[in-house]
Amino acid sequence: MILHSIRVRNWRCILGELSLEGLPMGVSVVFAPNGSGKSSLFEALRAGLLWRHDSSSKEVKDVVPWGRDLSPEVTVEFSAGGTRYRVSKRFLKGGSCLLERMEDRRYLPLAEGPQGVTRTLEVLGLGQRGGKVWDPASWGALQALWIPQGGICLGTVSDQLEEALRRAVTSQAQDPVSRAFKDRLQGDFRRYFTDTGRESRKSDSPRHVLRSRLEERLKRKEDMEADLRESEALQDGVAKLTAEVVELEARLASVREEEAACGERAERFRRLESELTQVRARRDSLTSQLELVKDRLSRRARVERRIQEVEAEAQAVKLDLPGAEARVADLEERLSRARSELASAREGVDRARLMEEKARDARRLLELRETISRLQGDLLNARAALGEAESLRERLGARRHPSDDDVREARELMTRVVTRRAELEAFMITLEMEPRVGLKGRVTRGEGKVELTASPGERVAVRGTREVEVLLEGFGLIRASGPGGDSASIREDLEMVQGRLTRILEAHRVGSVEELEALGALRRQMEGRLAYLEEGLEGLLRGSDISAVEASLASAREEVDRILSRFPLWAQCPPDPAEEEAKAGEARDVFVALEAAEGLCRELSAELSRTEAELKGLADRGGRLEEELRALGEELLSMEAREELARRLGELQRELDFAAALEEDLARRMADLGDPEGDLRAAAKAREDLEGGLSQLRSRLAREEGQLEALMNRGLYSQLASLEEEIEDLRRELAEEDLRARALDLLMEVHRECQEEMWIRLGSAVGVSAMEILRRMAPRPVGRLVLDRMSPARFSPGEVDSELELGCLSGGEIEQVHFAVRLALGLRLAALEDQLLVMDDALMATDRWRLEAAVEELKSHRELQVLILTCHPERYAPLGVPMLALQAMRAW
Amino acid sequence: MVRFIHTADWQVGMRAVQVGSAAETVRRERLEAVRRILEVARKRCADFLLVAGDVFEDNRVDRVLVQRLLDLLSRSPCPVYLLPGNHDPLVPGAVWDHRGFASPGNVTVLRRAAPVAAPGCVLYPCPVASKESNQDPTGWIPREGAGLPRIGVAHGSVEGPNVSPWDHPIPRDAAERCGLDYLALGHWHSTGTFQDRTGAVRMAYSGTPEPTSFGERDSGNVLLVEVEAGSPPSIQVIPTGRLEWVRMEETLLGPKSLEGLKGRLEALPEPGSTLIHLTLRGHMSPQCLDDLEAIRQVLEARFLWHRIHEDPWEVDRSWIQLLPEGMLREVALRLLDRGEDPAVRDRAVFEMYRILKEVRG
Repeated sequence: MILHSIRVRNWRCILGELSLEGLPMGVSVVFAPNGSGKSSLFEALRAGLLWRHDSSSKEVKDVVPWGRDLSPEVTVEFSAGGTRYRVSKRFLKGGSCLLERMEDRRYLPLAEGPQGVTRTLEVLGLGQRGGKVWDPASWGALQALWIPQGGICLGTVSDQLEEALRRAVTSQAQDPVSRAFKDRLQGDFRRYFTDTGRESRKSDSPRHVLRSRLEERLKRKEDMEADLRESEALQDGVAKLTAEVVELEARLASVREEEAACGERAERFRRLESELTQVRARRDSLTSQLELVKDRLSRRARVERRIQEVEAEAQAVKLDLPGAEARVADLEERLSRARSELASAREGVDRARLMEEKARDARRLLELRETISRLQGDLLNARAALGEAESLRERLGARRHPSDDDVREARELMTRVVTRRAELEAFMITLEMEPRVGLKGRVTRGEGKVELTASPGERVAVRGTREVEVLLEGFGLIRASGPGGDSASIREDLEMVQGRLTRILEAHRVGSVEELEALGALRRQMEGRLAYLEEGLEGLLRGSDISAVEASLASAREEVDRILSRFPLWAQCPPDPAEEEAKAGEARDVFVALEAAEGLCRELSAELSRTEAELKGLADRGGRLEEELRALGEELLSMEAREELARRLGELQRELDFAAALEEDLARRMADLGDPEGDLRAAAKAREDLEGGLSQLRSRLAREEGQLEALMNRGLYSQLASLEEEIEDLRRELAEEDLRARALDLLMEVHRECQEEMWIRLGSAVGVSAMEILRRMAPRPVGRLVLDRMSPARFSPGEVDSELELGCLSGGEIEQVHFAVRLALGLRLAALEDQLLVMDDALMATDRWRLEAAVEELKSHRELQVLILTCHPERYAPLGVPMLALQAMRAW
Repeated sequence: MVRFIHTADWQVGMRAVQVGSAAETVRRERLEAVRRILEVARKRCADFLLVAGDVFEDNRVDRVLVQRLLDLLSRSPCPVYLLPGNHDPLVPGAVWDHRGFASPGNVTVLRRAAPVAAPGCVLYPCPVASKESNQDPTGWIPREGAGLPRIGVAHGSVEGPNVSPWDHPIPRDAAERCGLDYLALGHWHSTGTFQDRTGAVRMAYSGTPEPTSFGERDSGNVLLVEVEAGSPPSIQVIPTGRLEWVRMEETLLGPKSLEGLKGRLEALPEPGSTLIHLTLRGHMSPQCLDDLEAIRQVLEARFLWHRIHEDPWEVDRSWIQLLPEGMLREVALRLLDRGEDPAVRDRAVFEMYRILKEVRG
């Protein structure tokens, strides 16, 4: 990369714009005092090429001019790979990136935004850089070419630098064909493998694609084979079911034959059974007929026997009938006599009952008259008591009478008043005066009047408790004191008690406690009399009221009137109950006679009834017997003759014997046939079972055949064939790709080995080149330089045989060694393309002679563009290199 | 006299996995062969068509395919008799349960080992009911029969060396022993006849009417048979195959060998219906890759299917010596010394040669 110009704006101490343009190849020195922006310019160069424009990290924010709100900007023009570019970046607010490429002598946009950043890195051969861009370790190959202030020592060579060097050095070491071969090999290799050598899983990896397709088809094949296996299993199942169906059909045919044989046997059995039934019916019929004939014979004998019995009985009845008729006539006569006696007894009884009623009424009349007299007395007394009680109640209600509690309280209050007055009197003092002249004054403390006047010699007294004060005109204040104590509470209690007493007396309209007590005694007297009267009333009325007594009196009078209405004579001459009772007792004897007559009548009536019934029974019985006798005669006449019945009986018995023999023969023949119906049922059951099983089996068979057919109709066989063909092709292709991948892997491995060896060889060449530079620059002989990963490790001066650690050398020598190595690396990188070498005050410990030698060495390499930033222009001025003053480049 | 077409081993639905993308064509040609057989029967006025087993590749073949064959046979100019073979044995759930075979028509499946009256003759079918059997399928055929020509039809292997005893063995004198005028055989894909003691041919394999794989000898035929009771039959072989299954092996000695091979391949007739399996061995130079690629392109473009099998080569290293001094030459030489896997190594050398050739233009 070669730098053509750089424009920086608003960058740390660079306010406004700073522009460095028209940079030539070879060595240029940019000088300015410290703090003028040399390092900022170098930083802006790195930012323009490497940094992301959209970063907001602390390092980016730090480049904003202190205390200002500005967006840093940088524009870099450079050449890379023979093409000229311009990249413009603005950071932070309004951040942007634009990469332009020169085409036909003018810049045309190439990429912008993040793409601009990426493309810039690609143009510089840095690719996507990792790490922090302000760290030299992440500058890639530029780590060797950009030397920050005081950083001539390369330190640890970053992986990126090593890779860049390796790439650059390898590129130099290889011809274009080798490079193209390598690129092509890597391209092919990456189709199969990742950078780490693992198999690529990218979608364009042939093996991955083939393997995925193969796996997918194998999976499908597996599924199809499973379906085919299922179809085979179904086929087996169908075969088994078919065999079972055939076997069952054979068994069914056998069972059906057996069933037919059983049917035939059952038919024979049924025929015999029918015959047997007929024979049994015939036998039953004969038996019935036989029984009928026997029955007729028996009935005829019974009728004949009965006729004899009835004739004998009828004769006996005829003999008993006259005796019964005589007993009836006798009884009827006796009964007539008894009934006459009974009628006369009943008349005596009516009189006796009348006498009894009269005696009872006489007794009742006397009782009622006593009752009326008693009730009239009670009624009179009760009315008097009621009047007095009413009067007492009126008197009690006419005024309020003190209760016993009121009287007792009044008496107690009176006692307390007396006590309190006595106590109050004990506290009283008296100021007595008997002036000789008239006095006029005012009682200021004491009881009674306030204004006080006294004529001369008049004795006046002022009373008070504890203290009395009088203000006398002309005499002033006169005071008298008595014994101490709390008279106020006594007075207060006295007033309260007096008030209470007054209220009680006033309530009962009396003036003193004595009057109150008299009034209470009067109340008690009236209440006692009232209680007495009420108790007497209770006794007179017996729990009821006076109207009930009056009703009882009226009822008694009504009954008296009723009795007197029956016996009016008793109104003038009251009856004698004893006399009437005696008369009734005499009449009572007739009841005994009446009972005797009634008993006789009952006995005779009963006997007459019995005798009459007996007579009637005999007559009825005689009639019935005659009737029966007539019926029996008729029946006997209707019956067959005994001889005819005996002949028929003999014939029937012979027929019956024949039927029994026939029945026995049929039963034997049926027994020989066994149980054909049972056998038939069993056979039918077996057939039905087999038919059911067969039906189920056929259903299953049909179902499985249907499933099999459905599977077959899916075309699995053809699909599987196609799939297997595809799999075969894929496997072959995969094997081919595997072989190719393994071959490319081997080729890549061998190629890497060769490249590594070449790197090692070319690495030592860098060391040789650095030694040559050192020999040209060094003021004294140089021995050997040993590099460790392109970084100087040990050094042997010419005069010393042994190798020294680099730290054993002086600062100038150390800088010189590092400078030589850096220059050697830069030259290696520049062998492929011209390179920019930036040194920001890099050689701090180098003396004038060594600096001169270094600059001379730099000047000798035209493939390098060297930009030296320094604050010591005087050190470079004599060396014949272009000097650019930084201050002159500012545009404010 | 009765005239009929004897054929067998149609193997409709055959899977030709080994030929990958061409398998579909191979399967299609099975049915096309049947069509051609029917055409032969029509042209030769055959009384009937007798198929001695293996009509189908498998009992599991798609039922659509069965229907397709039935549709084809329904247009037959004469009755067709189909015998179940060991590929499509007569078992429950077999392809023969297809409804199309149940309906009466000109197609008869010979399901039972019992005489069948055919136009002008009596057939004695020997249907196969299992994949394998050590029983002679013709054992049931009675020696005596009607005065009509007696024609047996069986599927199995005629006894002989290298024949499995479980391959439905058929005695070499089966026709004579059973008193048959002709015994139509199926199972072997090559056409073959068997003479009896009198020298008369009364037993024959028609072979498959369309070849089924590489290495088959004399397949792709049917037999037109004319039989008169008591006389030796007249048998005529009629080719019906269309696809050619060619296997070639070439030992290359240099670029000229490839040129010769290319010429021979280009000279093959009907490449569009030819499947070719080419095995290459011998001396191989990376410089020959272009010629090999050209051959590959010819095969790809013209032939129905091809496969080139490369035996381990003896790799020519002379081109490496021609590389300029430098890393590439170093890589190539070092590669030749890597002997982990010769196939990988040789392929790597070829890959290097290919890349170099590409980058050099």
